[in-house]
Amino acid sequence: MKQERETSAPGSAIGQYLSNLKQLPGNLRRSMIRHGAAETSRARAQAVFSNIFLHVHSVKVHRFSLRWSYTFGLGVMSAGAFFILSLTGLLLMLYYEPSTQNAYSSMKDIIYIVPSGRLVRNVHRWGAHIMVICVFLHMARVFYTGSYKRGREFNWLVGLVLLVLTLALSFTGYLLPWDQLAYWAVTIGTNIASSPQEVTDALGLTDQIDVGALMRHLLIGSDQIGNNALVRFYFLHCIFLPMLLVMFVAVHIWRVRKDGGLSRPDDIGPELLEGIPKDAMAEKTFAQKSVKTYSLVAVVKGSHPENSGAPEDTIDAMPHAFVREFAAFMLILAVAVVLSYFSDAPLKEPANPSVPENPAKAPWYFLGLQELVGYSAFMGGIGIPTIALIGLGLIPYLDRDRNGIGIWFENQQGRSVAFVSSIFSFVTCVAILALTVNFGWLRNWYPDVPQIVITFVNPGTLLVGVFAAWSLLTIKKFDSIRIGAIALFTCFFVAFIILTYFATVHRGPNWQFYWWPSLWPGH
Amino acid sequence: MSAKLTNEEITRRGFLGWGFAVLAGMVSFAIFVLSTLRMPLPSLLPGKSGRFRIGRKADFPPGTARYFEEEQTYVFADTDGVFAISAVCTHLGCIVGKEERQFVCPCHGSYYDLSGKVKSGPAPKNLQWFKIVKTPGGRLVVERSKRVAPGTKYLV
Ligand code: HEM
Ligand code: FES
Repeated sequence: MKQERETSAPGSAIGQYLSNLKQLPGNLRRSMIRHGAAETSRARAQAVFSNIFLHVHSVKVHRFSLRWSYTFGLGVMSAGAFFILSLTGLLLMLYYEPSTQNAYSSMKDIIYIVPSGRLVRNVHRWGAHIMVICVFLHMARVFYTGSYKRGREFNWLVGLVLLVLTLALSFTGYLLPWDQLAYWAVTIGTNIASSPQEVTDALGLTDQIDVGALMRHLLIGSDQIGNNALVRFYFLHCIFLPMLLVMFVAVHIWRVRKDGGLSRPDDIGPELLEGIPKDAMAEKTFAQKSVKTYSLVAVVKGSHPENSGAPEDTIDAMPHAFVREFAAFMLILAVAVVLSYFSDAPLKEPANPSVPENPAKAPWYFLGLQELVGYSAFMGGIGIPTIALIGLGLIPYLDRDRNGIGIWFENQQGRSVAFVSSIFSFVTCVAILALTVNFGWLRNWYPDVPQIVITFVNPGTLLVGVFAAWSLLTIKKFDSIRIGAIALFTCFFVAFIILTYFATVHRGPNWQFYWWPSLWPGH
Repeated sequence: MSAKLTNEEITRRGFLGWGFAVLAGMVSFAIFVLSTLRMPLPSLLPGKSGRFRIGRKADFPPGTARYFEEEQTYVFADTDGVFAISAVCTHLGCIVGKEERQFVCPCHGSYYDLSGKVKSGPAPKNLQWFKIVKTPGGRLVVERSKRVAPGTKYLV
């Protein structure tokens, strides 16, 4: 820490005044940034932990953590996409009006009149797609590298909250343009909130406790999607959820630091660290002993800044990690901008509460759920997602084996179980989909079957049951909970992809099966 | 340690004084929190009143089928009488379309017969039937807030 220079006062106050004025730039800078140039390891550490925004990040990272093929930078990219979304969102807020009267026309203005409005809107839309993809893939990489272990259990849960918040942000944003797509997708989506009626009706309880209607009224403030719903969604999308997300991301990244940095294998051979810079500053730090060390107490024990590089093979986060994180961010930005030049976000006709969009499809990442909702509103919209979330949350608490951390798929067994499970899931999904498309389901066979039976026995719950059985079998066969978890996660992940694909491509008007969207009537 | 604690004896007067303040604070805080939690739940649902006029009996000779778009209601007449069926799908609230001999929901493909009974698809319930009444002036009114059992017709 450089001391503020003692100025040899030129006697008079006015002279002092002038000299202080002359030193203003230097003093201003020093009062703002207390550390010197980032040439020593210590200064670099200070650059990180004396900055409120950077201090949630580790000061030192393990060299292994910089391996691109370990994280693919997905967590950073998720955060980057969120940053892009925040900036473009703020710009859109300058023109967007959350009222049923003006929402649609303000969107039209943004597209056709506001300078660069179309581009900003496109980047916002593509950013949302990218963020959802990154978050899903990030979760998969954390899972498959066993990175939820050894103190990281809680951060896995924080991650799940982030997943839900990300999806909630997309969903609330979808209503804002107030076009046909928005109106009907959100009508369906919010009616899912009232689907517990499917169960309370069967139990004859709806008149006493109507949980469904309560949740729906809370969400949209009315009986139908209207101005109240628009204002509520606007508030959730622009203020409430982003604030929550920022808080949880801060906790998440702080925990990565507190949990000992990113996960890594126990034995890291030199071949895994090839091409990753070493800590060249180590000796240099030793050489500079003169400066005060008390400000380092929090980082390093002892009175000297010892930083030999050993025993953990770490390296300064500034600049090595930050440069890579910045690169990941720029990559995401570039992808979003390029896509936005070539492909416009859609805007359909203005919302018309009398005529549904046909087909009325939710955003793609909800289409898998929409397919399940097409079997039972309650199970598809609430039951199965809840089961999936609880299942995901339980993973680190059921798989308490300390081994198998830091290696993709753990070992040969893990790799082959993941492979076989994805084939199994693929075949099961296709079979069940083909069955329902061709032969319908219970109600087509027994017209008077009670609804409650369909609610609990439908293609969606069948899939869940089959996958659960499959993973239990795997646990038994390989005598390993981790391997069973890999089987289950893979089944769900592949099923999610297939259902999403199926509902995107093969569902047309009246939610009927078509081999290709170009075969839809009216095309 | 324990001696020290007994030194700071809590007097009855002190306790009553502080205790009262703390209690009052906690009670008002609880009331405040409970009542603000209520706030997001509207007491009056904004929206249309449930009633709408559809015309006179003579406008509905047997065989009539009319759709009231604003109100999302089909009104039919047969030789027995006039009846009104909701067009709102019981699955997730899309608007069903009428075909020759059935209703079809575009959103997830629920099919109902013309009396609103579910034939196939994910809809958990039959379409709602609404009550029809006559005003003193002789006009027919559909009351969307009053549900009636399927088959209940306004007799001619
Ligand atoms: C908005 C969404 C999210 C953001 C911005 C985010 C951000 C990050 C970042 C920047 C890292 C550092 C490592 C890396 O880049 O891979 C990380 C690690 C981690 N994330 Fe996330 N994440 C999100 C969602 C999730 C989800 C959905 C999960 C899982 C349910 C999750 C679980 C974890 C765990 C356990 C770690 C520690 C991994 C390790 O030690 O190797 N995160 N996250
Ligand atoms: S809303 Fe009618 S079938 Fe889903």
